[in-house]
Amino acid sequence: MIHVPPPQGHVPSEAELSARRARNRAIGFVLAALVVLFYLTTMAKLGLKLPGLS
Amino acid sequence: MTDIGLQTRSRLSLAAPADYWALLKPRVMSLVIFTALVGMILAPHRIHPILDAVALLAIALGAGASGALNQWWDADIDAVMSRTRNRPIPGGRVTRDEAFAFGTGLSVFSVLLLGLAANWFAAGLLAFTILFYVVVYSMILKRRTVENIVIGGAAGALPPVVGWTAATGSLDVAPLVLFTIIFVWTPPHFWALALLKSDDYARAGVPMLPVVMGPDVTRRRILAYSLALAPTGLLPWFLGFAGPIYGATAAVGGIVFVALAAMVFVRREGPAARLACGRLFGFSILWLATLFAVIAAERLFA
Repeated sequence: MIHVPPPQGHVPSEAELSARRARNRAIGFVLAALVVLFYLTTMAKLGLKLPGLS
Repeated sequence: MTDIGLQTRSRLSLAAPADYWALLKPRVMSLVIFTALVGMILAPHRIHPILDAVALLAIALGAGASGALNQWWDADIDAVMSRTRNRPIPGGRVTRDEAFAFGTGLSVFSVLLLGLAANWFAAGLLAFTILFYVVVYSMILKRRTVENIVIGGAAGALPPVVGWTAATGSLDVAPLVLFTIIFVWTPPHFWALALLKSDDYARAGVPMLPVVMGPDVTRRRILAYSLALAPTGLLPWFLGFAGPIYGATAAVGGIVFVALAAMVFVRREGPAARLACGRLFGFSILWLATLFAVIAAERLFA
């Protein structure tokens, strides 16, 4: 019987993990910024007053 | 069959957010934001402060997307030139496919955002600008003709027109004059740099004017364009949409520009020649930034 070792996936290095964490944080920041952007754009397009702004 | 698992192995990307930021060519983007903002300020009426800001963001993102697609296409050239060899793609931190997807996605997003925030005429103009820079300049002209930056300069000259149309939804003489100023300014600005970096361009096979026709022809052309640029800079004052402070600034700036171009023409050898080119290149940036800042300030404080 031939022994087939289980396939091993790539074990990310610390540098790869660190870069991925930084990218995830940036994506999170961009998504949050898009929420604000679309909110402000919609309010301005509809001619509505923004809370806290006269 | 035992290597099936190995085929699925892949390395995680080492790209940091800063690499994607670098793909946007932030320094070029800042100039685009500035000139587009001046186009908006000169416009006779505005949409809404928030929508103005969103429109400006959309124009900036469109410029950044163009930069990313330019780096996707020119990765082979960038790898050879000392000025660009550490960019994210030749540096091995971002793949070409990633840059293409990033640039394309951002292009579509920027055009849609401008259309929704401002108007679809401005959005169409932004789409045209991106396509012109990527397809006409990067893919067609850059590697084929010495007139690459002369014609391709139109892409860099369009942002104030996009800014104006974002605010007004129409075209007028003023934004077209701003377009003409940047269009005529681009060749002497880039040729001064090309004289300094001609070895780099030759190694990369980019047919810049100094590489193909030699430094003497380039110096003559720089002087000719500078002589055309000085009166072109006066057009806003002459046509009445800029005041006397702008007129005086443009007159003095034009004289200095021509004087520096004449220095480039006269000094052809050694460190003095390089210094003359460096001075003209540096002053050309100052000249454009000052004229646009003055014309905007005059309008804001009128």
